Amino acid sequence: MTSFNQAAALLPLRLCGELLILPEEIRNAAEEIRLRAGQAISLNTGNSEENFVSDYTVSSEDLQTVLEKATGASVHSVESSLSAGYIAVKGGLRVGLCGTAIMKGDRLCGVRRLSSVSIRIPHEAQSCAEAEAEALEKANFPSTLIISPPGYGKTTCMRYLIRRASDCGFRVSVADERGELAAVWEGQAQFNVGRHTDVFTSAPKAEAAKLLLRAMNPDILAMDEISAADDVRAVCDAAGCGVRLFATAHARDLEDMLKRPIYSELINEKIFDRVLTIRKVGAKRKYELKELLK
Amino acid sequence: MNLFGASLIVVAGFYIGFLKASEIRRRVAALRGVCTMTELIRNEISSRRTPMNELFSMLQKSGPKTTESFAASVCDRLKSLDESSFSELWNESVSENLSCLPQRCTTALCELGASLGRYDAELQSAAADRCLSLLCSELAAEEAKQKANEKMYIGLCGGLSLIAALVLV
Repeated sequence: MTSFNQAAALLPLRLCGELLILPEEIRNAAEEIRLRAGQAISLNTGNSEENFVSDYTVSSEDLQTVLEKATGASVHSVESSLSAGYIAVKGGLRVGLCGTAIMKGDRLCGVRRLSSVSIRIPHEAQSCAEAEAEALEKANFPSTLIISPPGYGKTTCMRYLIRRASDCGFRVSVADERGELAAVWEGQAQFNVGRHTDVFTSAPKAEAAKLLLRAMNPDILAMDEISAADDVRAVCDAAGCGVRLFATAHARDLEDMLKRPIYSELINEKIFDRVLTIRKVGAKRKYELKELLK
Repeated sequence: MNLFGASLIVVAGFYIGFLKASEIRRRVAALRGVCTMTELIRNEISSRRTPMNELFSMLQKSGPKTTESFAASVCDRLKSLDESSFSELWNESVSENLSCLPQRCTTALCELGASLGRYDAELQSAAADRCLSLLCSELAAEEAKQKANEKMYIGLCGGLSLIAALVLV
């Protein structure tokens, strides 16, 4: 079953049927299915977000149906994910949720009365940033930071680099906090992340990094979305152990990154040897690999 | 022949009495099983956050015997969660496997089914507690009825049939 079909299967039957008969080029290009209560369903194809099935208005009950299907009628078993605003689903899908927060004191512990849902459809690229990956392979896969705004394909690109490095014989350990890189389901990675890759899922990146360094003796440690001080500390600690790093971060470009204190430390400390920036030109992605001078 | 016919009537009468008494016993056993099952569901959801497919698989293997077919039915129907909601699957299983229960109990179970799997563990636990409270009070009432009426049915049916036999003979 394709990722799009798996995503469509999470929808109420009527909507599922309507999406499955869309033209193939639209289904292949779809990156997200978005449902908003009171609106028509829409698809994000990377280039734009368009409404489909315009004679059907999404209801709150439809959003609840998506949640029920995504969790296997077991919302209680994904509470920790829900408090982060998303649920990982078999096949590497990620269902983002928006609604009314459930607070316990200061802590967000869940979402109720859903108002919108976004089903992110993963695309496993057979190759990605080919020329840049080739250059990294020639340089023996130095520590590389992949940066772009959200939705530009950092995770897809990182997954490809992990697989490429792993298949070249490097031992790669992956701290897959949100289950998007390898999408491990019942112990098996749903995406091909290479022959020599070990994946630790669902743990906070900093904790997973410590465990992986101690237990799996990696050549390369990979972490998706460095966004918190703890993540940066984990990256610095790993670099201090002599392990190479693959990581991603949200930023328009290197200059944008340097403006933020949390990232400027990473750049100024020369933790990474290379920065791979992803830009969008229309529907196409452009990659730029830069060497950071020591 | 008259004696033979009379014996048959007496045996039939006692048999009907036993059937009635065993119906009460079955209903009490089913209610007891459903109470235990509901408690297990509540505990698994609130303390271990067990997903539904795992929970009902466990109930099928090691839950109360009287609810084994119900658990198996839910487990089987969960495979078609794509086509029906959980509460629909649950209600179908209740009507197929727990029809011997009093109406109030099946209604309470259907209300529980509308909450299971949809909300956080606390809310589901509270819904299970409400259901359990009603089931336990029904169980107490049925147990009292059983104590009062079990022997009465056997005696009444047996006695009436004996009278009928004597009259006919």
